[in-house]
Parts: sequence; structure tokens; C-alpha cells
Amino acid sequence: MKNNYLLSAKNIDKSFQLDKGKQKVLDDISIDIESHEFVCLIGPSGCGKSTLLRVFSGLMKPDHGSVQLKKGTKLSFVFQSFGLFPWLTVEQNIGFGLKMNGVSKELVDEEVRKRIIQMGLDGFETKHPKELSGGMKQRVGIARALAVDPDILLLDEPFSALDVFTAEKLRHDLLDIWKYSKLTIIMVSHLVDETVELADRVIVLSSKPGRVKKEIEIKSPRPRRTRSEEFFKYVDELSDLVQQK
Amino acid sequence: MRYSSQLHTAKRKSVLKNKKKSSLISFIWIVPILLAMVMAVNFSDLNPASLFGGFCVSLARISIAYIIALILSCVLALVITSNEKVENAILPILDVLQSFPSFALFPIMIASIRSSELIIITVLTLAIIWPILFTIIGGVKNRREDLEEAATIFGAKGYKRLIYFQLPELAPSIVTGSIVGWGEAWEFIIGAELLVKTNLGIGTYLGQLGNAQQNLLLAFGITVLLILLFVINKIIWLPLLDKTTKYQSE
Repeated sequence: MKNNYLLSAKNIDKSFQLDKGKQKVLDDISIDIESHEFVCLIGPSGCGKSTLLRVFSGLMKPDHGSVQLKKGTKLSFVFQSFGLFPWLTVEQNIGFGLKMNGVSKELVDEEVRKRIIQMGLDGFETKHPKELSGGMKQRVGIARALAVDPDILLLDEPFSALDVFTAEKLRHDLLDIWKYSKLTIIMVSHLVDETVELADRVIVLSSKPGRVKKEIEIKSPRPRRTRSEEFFKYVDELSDLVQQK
Repeated sequence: MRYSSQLHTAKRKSVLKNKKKSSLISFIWIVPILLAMVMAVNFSDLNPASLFGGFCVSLARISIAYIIALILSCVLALVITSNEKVENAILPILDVLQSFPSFALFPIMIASIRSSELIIITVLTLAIIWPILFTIIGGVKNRREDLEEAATIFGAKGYKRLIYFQLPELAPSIVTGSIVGWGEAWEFIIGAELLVKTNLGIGTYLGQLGNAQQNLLLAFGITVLLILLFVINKIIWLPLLDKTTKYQSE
């Protein structure tokens, strides 16, 4: 594994047993992720984007192939459906990972406080997920993921359950967090515009089974102007790739 | 919309105050009923020592059986559902076993177990365990996949996963099953105490009143039992149900 690769996936195959037989979801996928990269995975519905993210995270084991992480690399995950524990308050949800890893209460409290301020959750500490809006829930989801101080943040369509304006605000916040940290981000998305706005590199997957169709580097400087000709060029190119059979 | 910390703290205090107020109202409402009941028993021909003493002994028997059934149910439900093959093999057997009447085991138990306390507690455990077990299994089957994944990603393993994730996640099922099991236990204890012929117990005392054909006192005794069960429900089970289900759905 090269030194600058934080995550290296080689020849990943994954199938699921369905009623009508075995269905291959991922076929021979190899992806290398460098440190402090912002990578987006995009593809048509059912192409195995979320499955691939779960294979990266270790939540699913591939049938063949391997995922290698640079020694000491920590991963964290942000869920599309937030995945917040409904019986815990905002601060308890954020501190959950630290608590599970045996971090002392003082340090948990300190880290939770830091993330609450960072994600604009001040005043919501003792609320339960049920009492929060979708945007606030995802803020808690991101705060919880950041609290364990990960090297790689995996996000599974984190803004797809949110309204346009909330998603826009959270995208900017995520970009700021990435910019001012050493974080590496791998994000699954089904929105072409979103990937062009955020990513250094967009990996397009084909459908049934999921294969790497093409990788596109987005070379536009940040902050990206979403109304520029260059932006639309990338959007058109990616849209064509995603829609192509 | 963002609340300021101060406003939030003030709101929290107000919620806590309202909660305290509501518990106080419940308490104020329950105390006169209990006092009236105790006074009525004292003025009647019911024997307070046998009635309330018997109730306490029965309550202790049910509590012991409940704790055993609860622990067994949690362990069994988590073990059975941890593997699909085990689940497919064991669930049909449990389904048959749960429909087997516990009282049918009485002759065997009386012949093989000397302690009447042990017989009663065994019968009660068998009565309580099924609703709790099947409700927990139902809860496990309806678990949210994203929460399971979140717990795994954030390092919930071993006993920590059990205490901080699995039990809170299953708490609504545990409490719902417990309420049903607890209710069935009171039904079973009357029969069990009558059949085993213990010296003290609510079933024993009500049985004595029935045998003496003191039907009015028997009806009064049953009413007292119902009031006591209502109070237990009001101060233990309903708050627990409220606490565990309040925040469960997002």
C-alpha cells in the first residue's frame, strides 16, 4: 500500500442472496483514497454505492477482495436516516462513540461541548432526536461522527432526507469542516450538482452489478461557483455518465 | 430557529416542574383511595392481617417469578434471534410450549417438588415468561438496521452493547411484555395458592372466604385486590411505559 493512500480497496465483489437467487451488487471494484481527499461516489439507484460504503466501513464483509487502511486510521459514519439513538439526548448521542471506547467522562463532556458549538447545536443539548428537525438531526449525526476524531468520514447520502435550503447550509458547513481539518471524506450521493460542488474526485459507478465506470477529477478552485460554465460542464459530463447504460 | 441556552434552561425547569406537579396530582389522588380502602377494611369483617399480609406475600412471590422470567426472556430472546438457523429451529417449539397450560404440570410438580413456594414460583414464572419472551422477540425482529449499524460503527461491543444499546432499544417491548405477564401472574397466583394450600397469600385468603360462603366479603376482598393492582399499575407500569415509549419513534 502506497504511503499516501489512507484507504485502498482492491477487487471488491459483493453479492446478496435474494428470493430469485444470488444477485451481484459489486463487481471487481478497486478504489484508492488519499489523505485529505474529498471523494464522492455517484451512480444510478441500486448500483451498490451504499453497499460499497458499508464495505469500506467494515459493516459488511466483501465476498472477494480487501479493504486496507493505513495503520491507525479511524473511520466514522454519517447515516442517510440519521441513525440517532432515540432514547438518548443530543449530547448523549454525540458522546456515544467516546463512551463506548472508554473515554473518561470529563473528556467526553469536553469533546461533546466542542462539537455542539461547532455544529450549532447550542441550546439543544438535552433534546431527544424526536424533538429535532431533520436538519438538526443530521447536525447531531455529523457531530457524533466527528466526536470520535476520525481520519476518514463516510457519509451515506447525508442530505437526501433534508429540504433544499437545509441541505445547502449543511453542505457548506461540511466543506468548512473538511477544509479546516485533516479529514478525508468519502460521500455517497445521487445528486450530480452536489458532487461537483463538493468533491475533489467523483467516482461514477455503473448499475447491476456496480462497477467503477469512470473517475472524474473536479479541478475547479473552491469556493465553486455553481452557476459557472465550468460547473455545468462537469455536471453535464457526470449526468451523461450516470444515465448511460 | 435557535433557542438561547438561558431560554432552554428555563424551559427545562418548567417541564420538570410540570412533571413534578403531575406526579403530585397522581399521588394526591391515590392516597385518599388507599386510606378509604384501609378504613373500609378495618370497619368490615375482613381480616386486615390476612388480606394485606396475604397481598404482600403474593406480591413478593410474583416479584421473584417476574425477575426470573425477565432475565430468562432477555437471554433467550437475544440468543435465539442471534442466529437465523437457531431461530427457525427453536421458535416453533416455543410456540407449542407457550400454549401448554401451566396448571397441567401441577400434579408432577407437587409429586416432585417439596417446597410449596418453589411450586408457586415455578408456575408463575411459566405464566409470566411467554408474553415477555415473545414481545422481546418481536422487538428484536423490528429493530432498526441503521441503529444497529450506528452502534457497531461507534464501538458498542460486549456488555456495553447490551447495556447501552440493546436493552434501551428493546425497553418498550420489555415493558409491554412485562405488563401483560404481570397481569397474568395475578390470575395464576390465585389458582396456584388455592391448589398448593399455602398458609398465607391473597389467593389463600380469598379461597378461605369462598369456602366459608362469605360472598359479600369475598367480593369486597376482590375489590381491594383490584384497587391495589390499579395503584401498582398507576405508580409503576404506566410511568415506565411512558418513559420507554416517549422518545422511541423519531
